[in-house]
Amino acid sequence: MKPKAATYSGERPSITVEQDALVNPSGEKLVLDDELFIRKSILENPQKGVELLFARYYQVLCTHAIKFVGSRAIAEDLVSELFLQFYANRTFEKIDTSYRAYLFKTVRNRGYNYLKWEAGKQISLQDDFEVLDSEHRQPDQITQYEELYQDYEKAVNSLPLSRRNIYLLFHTDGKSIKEIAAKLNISVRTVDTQIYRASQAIREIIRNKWFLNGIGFLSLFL
Amino acid sequence: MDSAISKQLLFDHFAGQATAMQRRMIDEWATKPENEELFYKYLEEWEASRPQYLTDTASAQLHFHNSIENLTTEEKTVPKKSPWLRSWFWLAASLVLIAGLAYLMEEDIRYRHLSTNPGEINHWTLADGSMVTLNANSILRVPRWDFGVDTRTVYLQGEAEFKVAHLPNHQKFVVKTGNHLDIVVLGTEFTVYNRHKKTQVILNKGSVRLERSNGKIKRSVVMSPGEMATVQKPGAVIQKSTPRPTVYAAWKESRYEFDQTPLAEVAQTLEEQYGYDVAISPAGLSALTISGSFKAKNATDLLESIAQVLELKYSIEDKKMTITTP
Repeated sequence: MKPKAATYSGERPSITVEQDALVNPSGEKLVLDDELFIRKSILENPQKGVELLFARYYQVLCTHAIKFVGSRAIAEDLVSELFLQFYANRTFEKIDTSYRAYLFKTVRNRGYNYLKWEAGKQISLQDDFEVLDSEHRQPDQITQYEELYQDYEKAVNSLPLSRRNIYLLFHTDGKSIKEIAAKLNISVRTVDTQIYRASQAIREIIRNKWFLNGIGFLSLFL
Repeated sequence: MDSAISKQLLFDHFAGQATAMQRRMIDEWATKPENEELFYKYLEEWEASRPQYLTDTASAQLHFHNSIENLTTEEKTVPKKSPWLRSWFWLAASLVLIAGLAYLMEEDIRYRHLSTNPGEINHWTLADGSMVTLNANSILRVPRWDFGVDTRTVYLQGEAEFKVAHLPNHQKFVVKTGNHLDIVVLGTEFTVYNRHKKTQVILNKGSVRLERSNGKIKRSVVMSPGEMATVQKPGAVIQKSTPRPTVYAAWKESRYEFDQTPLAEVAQTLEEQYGYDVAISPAGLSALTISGSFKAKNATDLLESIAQVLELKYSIEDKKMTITTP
């Protein structure tokens, strides 16, 4: 069944409307038909079902996650970890949205947390984990996630060409410093420095726009 | 205007081409659960049609399957079906207990200790093809015959560099530090420093997960290449990127890299790696810092270079070094 398209009135919804939205009206209705088969499998045999779910969403979720974290290895770890917890904590019993909505939402949250942590390196991990666990310390507007990873992409693109190239080889493709040095015929020391400067520049841009105390909605979350 | 939010508008937004006003409209629209569902449906469609790269889904699936199986076998040790089964369970449990005791006592039989003396650096290739370089004064405990089926576990005291071989079955490689920290690896290069209740991990390549346990609470974090994580007891894990991860494995080439390093820390290095007792007098000298890369075959070499740079005097008597003003 197709969800009814809502109209946009041009006005901010009142608080009551927002609360209504939080209370799930009738679980069943929200689950789109294309997950029906997986839902049945999970009911019958959770392990089989979650493995099916994994096969179905792994590629798209990695594609989405890498936009935030920049590295394949980290994107894949993040997504695999998410599925493992989904199974181990029996999350599939608790959610009242589609699996898709839950999985995408969680990947976006974790992508956000990763960038936040990246931007504030050297803060204690202990604190960072607390943040990670609390869902409410997140952007409250859905489109902010796109804005965030688009800013990250812009920051990468703003790097000088050769530095960007080295950054991408190292970060996105997971090549080692030695491999890059050999490939580009430059010294290991140069590769080191370029990666360091690139990361610093990107961190600076993201931190200034998203994670600095003071102006903007994010001050609420810090 | 009916339904201002079309699939086209969402696609524009995913491509970063929506205006601020359009984004606000999407935000408001998506506060309704059924619209939010639609948002993610289109997001999936968008991502599926524009993969950033192709994942190796088949091997990831296999790996995922194995991880789930591992979880499940842990759960299966408690059968709850019938009392008859339960008695078998207790019998099995006591057998496990006895085996466990025997296992503890036979630790020395089951494990091989790879170790280095003061001033010595040595390399080994482990049964799985992983390579390890031990810095001076370090001990690595590895299973004597073979690694188990679940994980490849080793125990480290001291400092070592690992080049972990990635196995076809994605078997994990775990370095236990005894400092409430496990390092879980799939196949990667990294350096571990584990002395004086301080653990430091520097990652050169690949990815590792640090699993930290504090009583019952287990926390984990994924490190990316070029990063260094430090655990010091008491206190939290500090994670930061290091501009030059290779510095931390300089000892492998008998090279020492110092960057504004206080003399006190250099003295500690001499003590840890060469087993000397180092005295600095007057104590104020400890705060002097030194920078640069030194090649040194032994403690005397290193001390000689440092004394030269800092214009200090030194003397060595047996296993005692004294650094003084000229």
